Amino acid sequence: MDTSMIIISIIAVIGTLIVAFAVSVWLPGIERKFVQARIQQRVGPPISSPGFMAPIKFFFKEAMTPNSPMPRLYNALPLISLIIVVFILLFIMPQMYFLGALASIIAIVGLLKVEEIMYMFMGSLSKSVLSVNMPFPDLVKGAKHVDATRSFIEELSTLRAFRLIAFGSFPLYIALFVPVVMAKSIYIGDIVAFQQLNGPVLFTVAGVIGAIVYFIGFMILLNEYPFAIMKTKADVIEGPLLEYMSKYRAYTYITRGFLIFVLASLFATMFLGTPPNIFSPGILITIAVAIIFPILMAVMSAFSPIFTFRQFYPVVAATSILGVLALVAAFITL
Amino acid sequence: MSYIPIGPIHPGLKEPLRLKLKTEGENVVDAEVDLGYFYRGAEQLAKGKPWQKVAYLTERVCGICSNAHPITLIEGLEKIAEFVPSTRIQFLRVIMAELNRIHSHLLANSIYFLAIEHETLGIYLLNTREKILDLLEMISGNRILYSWNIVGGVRMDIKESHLKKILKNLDEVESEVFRNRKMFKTGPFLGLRSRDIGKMSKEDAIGARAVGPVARGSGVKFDWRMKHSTYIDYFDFEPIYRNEGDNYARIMNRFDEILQSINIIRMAIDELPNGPIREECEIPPGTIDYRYEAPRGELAYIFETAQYGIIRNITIRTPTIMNLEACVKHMFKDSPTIADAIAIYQTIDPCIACTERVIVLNEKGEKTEFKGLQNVVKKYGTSPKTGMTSQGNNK
Repeated sequence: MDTSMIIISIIAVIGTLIVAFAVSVWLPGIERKFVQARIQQRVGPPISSPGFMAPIKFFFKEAMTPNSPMPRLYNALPLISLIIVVFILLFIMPQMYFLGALASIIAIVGLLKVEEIMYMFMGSLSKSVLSVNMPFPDLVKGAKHVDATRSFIEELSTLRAFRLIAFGSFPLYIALFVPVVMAKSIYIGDIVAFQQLNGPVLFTVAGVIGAIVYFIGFMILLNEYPFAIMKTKADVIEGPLLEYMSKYRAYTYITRGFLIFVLASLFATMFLGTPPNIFSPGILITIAVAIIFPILMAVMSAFSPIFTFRQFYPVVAATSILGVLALVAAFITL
Repeated sequence: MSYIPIGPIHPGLKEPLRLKLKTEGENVVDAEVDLGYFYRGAEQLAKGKPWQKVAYLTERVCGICSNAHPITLIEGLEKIAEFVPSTRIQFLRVIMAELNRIHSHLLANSIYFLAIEHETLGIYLLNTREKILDLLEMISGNRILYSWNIVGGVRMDIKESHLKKILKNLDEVESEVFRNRKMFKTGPFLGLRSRDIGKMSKEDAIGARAVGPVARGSGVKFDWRMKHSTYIDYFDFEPIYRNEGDNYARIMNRFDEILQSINIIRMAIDELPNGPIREECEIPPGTIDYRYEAPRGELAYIFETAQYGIIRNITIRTPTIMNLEACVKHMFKDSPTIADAIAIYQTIDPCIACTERVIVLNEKGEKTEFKGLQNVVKKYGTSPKTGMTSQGNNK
């Protein structure tokens, strides 16, 4: 590879990252303003507010030490999450396919798992003032259960994060393996090449079922309603993210917007054969998917209450079975 | 086995109290409630004041039932005076009471939907409630605290043009409530979150002395309007009840009661007679235990009057204190998750501001006489709760 190619590749990677960031900051606003607020007959926030202005505001807020046994590690976790999400985007860019195993579906799944596990760490390391004895000690006032262990609402959200890691993300991962089966390769480059030769996976029966399963998995991974049990306002409030403030909260906001874009890019890459690349018109497809997904997600979430695990288990089981059917269909079409 | 404290400051709760939920995993097996974060001493303030001042004060016991509280006091006073208001006054009071009930029930159901995080339905109901608040403002001049009922009548008449506006808004509210009720009834996810959650049997409801839509959701066929002379004589009132005893039943019961209230208002407007809106009524000394069906359930005013309508002593028992006990004793048991426990709590439509009362116990746990916080401060030198000293300073 000559020097000019290397420079062009570096520019492509940096340019794609900038475009991804520029688009991702508007996605939460599109989701909340244009769809949810319209459905709910309210004005809604300004479109720039949830993803763009809010992080800027938080960067200028004062940070306090969170109530955590390891506050530095706790504060570092949102940034680590953001870095992981950026790496996922990097590994699906065509300029990175020379990395071999890192640009494979196994690496992507692994990184997504690490991103999920971050919530467990966050919840375990947080003990917010909202669940501590405030303003009076709980052990007085004639409490019946003085012998019971007091737990924190973040611990509850950690348990929920653990359950989500254990089974909640099955649909997304099963759906990701539909193009793998069809392309007979775990490498992103091979999957993209297969689709450029044979047409997008989405336009097959297995692809359509896989896309539906992927979309439900996408909502679960983003902890979006109705799958937001980990951070339901009714009990655990924001769950693992409760104690984040100032720039650390800004990172959580940016990470969420970025994760929406990255998962949409992953869909465009795996099901449409258009990896994110600023020098390719396919980037427009990626951006279109990144806008359509939050819109669909907002419609779904506006008409559903939050699922507790009684509803969550059957939905995930049914979606996973649908994903397995997509895999079977993919094997049959080989 | 552990317990999770929810509150006193928590977005899942409208008002400050502390729910301590004993859990096994996510299952709630037992619960405890701490009150005492919101005591305002309305009863102590009322003592020794004329009824005109107390009527204002009772409105402020609860912002949502702000028609039910003064009307309970005023009808109680009228009972002491053996005064029967004109039919027009009775009808006007029914119109106002039912509008108040509709707005309270819409708010209660909306809060439930926000608790299970179906924001869309929650906001739809709040939008519908605006139409009722507009009517209340049109009639009384205020959206929340009306100051409309007085002994001997009502403060202002409802004009003919206002009646047309009421009927028009009620038509709109009715169609919206029908739509939202259908969404709740047929929405599969809403049903999954609401059916068989927070169950309480009829026997348990009676045993825990549950009142209002909470008791009627468990099959208790009782409503104080059945015993109210206006409702018996002119409206042929029958209470609405359901037998399921779960969250679904309590919410559906409120939806059905909204539709029933709309029909009662229509009947009242259709047959609204002419007559005075205020008559003279002298309040003699006497005592009474008067009960009225507030939107949340039975509201009891037990009071004693002196000459010239001075309130000598008063005890107010609000519906939430009864329903809260029913909720903690029976509904929380076997709640599958803590999120469900919060939803159950919201189905009783709690109002902590009107529930807070003070009982002073001595060291042996025996009830002692209590005549206001200031007297406790004088006796003990300091208040254990506020840190207030006998000099009136906070520690």
